[in-house]
Amino acid sequence: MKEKLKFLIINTSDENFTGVSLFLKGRIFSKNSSEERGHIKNLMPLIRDILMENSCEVSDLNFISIVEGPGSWTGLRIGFATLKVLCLINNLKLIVINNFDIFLREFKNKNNSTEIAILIGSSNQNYYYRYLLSGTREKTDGISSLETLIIKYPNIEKIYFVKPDISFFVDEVLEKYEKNIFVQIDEVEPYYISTGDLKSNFVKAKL
Amino acid sequence: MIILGIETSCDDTSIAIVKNGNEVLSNVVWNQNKTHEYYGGIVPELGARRHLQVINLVIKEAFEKASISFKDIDAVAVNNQKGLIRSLLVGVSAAKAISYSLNIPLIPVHHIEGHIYSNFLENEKLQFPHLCLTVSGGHNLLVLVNNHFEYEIIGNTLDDAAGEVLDKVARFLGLGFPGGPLIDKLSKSGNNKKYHFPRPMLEESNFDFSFSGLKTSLTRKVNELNTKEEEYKIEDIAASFQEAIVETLVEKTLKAAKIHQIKQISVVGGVSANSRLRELLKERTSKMDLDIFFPSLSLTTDNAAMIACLGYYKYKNHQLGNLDLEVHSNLDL
Repeated sequence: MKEKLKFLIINTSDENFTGVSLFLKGRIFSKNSSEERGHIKNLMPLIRDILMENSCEVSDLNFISIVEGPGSWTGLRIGFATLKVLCLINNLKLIVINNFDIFLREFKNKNNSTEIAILIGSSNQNYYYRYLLSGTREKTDGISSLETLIIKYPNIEKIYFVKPDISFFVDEVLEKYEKNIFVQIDEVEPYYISTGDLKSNFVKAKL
Repeated sequence: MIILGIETSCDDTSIAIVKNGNEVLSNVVWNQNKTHEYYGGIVPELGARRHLQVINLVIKEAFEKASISFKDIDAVAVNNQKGLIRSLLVGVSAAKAISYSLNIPLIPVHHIEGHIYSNFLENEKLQFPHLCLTVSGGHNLLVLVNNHFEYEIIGNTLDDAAGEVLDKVARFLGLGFPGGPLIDKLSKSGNNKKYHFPRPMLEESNFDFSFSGLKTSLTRKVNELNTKEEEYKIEDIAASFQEAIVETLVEKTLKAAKIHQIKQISVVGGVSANSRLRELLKERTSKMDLDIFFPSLSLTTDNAAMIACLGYYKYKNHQLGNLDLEVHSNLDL
């Protein structure tokens, strides 16, 4: 069954990386660009090229998947705008996967600490973080500086700075496919985490 | 030939379907005024998020209204050359996905050029050369349109655009957002001669505009009235202020037409919906043997029909883009 699936995995969550992978005949084929903020320029050509090089049409795909974040807001938006419309026109389903979930999939059997934090780089020396209390389901996602995070959670034993790799994504996507966890393409949005706290922080413009 | 147009330069998500450059099959515009009202102006990050939230819904509505299917589209035109970067990125991403999926050409266009073409959607009598006043919250230009894609900018704003000043003044007066239509409405019941505000740069020999000082003049006047505890009607303030802007726009435009011996004037952009601007220009041009053209009110603000219309002429002229198309916040016309 798995060998018959054809799907794309798109990752635009890193400011300096645009990744496209094609799952075909049980294998993964990847193409990417490391151009800084190059998502708008590179994403669509990468999708076109990887499909063309593997004699695939977008309409041949079973579904598409995308990393929902957290990560570069602009990068995520370019990925989501592209895929929402690709799915609409080609009548394809969409699966979203989360950077934190992917990392935890790899580490859940290797971690003995009671309190950990996973960090993904953001802007202005801030990090997107997920705090986890082992043995419970308690988890908190947020955005902060490293100093603030340590003050907030003084008992953290380990902090992981991660940069998820596309090769970790396939299992997560397949699991969601098997469980039929697709999203509504008209309503789906990136996992921004922060609203930027716009209402309280935005200084009203003066005349 | 059927062109799909996409316009997401600021706070309007718009998709239009236009046949043969002038038959508008649909022109759907989802406005974000309520999203930005709280802030008294556009918040770029919020705007981009709203564009992404609604993009598929707007596409679907455009096709439903046009009663055609995806495969009937021959090309997709998108504004990628003027606007808020984060907002433009949503429209351009969508355009690329459509172009690739349907294997149809992608046509990059300039937002202001789109406004200039909004009058070609409805006015067959509009010809070359003509003088175009493009006036909105983001631009304020006088352009000699000599032929398709041949422009000569003879006037520009040195600071704020007229629409931007109207928005800022409306906010100062506590009227709300967007300011232009609110001031226009209020002015109808006010006396536009009650207070005098300057007509900036009318004595200059060039065709440039400067409205920044005008808004300072208004704040001073209102503060003065408040300090002296004089009673005043906000309608009179709005009408007098609007008159100063309108007269400046009209005088500069007519002077440019005369000096450049132009017989047709086209007015486009959000402020071209202003009722007093339309009234005064019609009145003045009728006495000067000049033709004046305004788009329908629905085509004055940002809309994708104008983008599709321009896309039609660009397609005929083989001005196409590729899937690696990028966006620019302020490319020259």
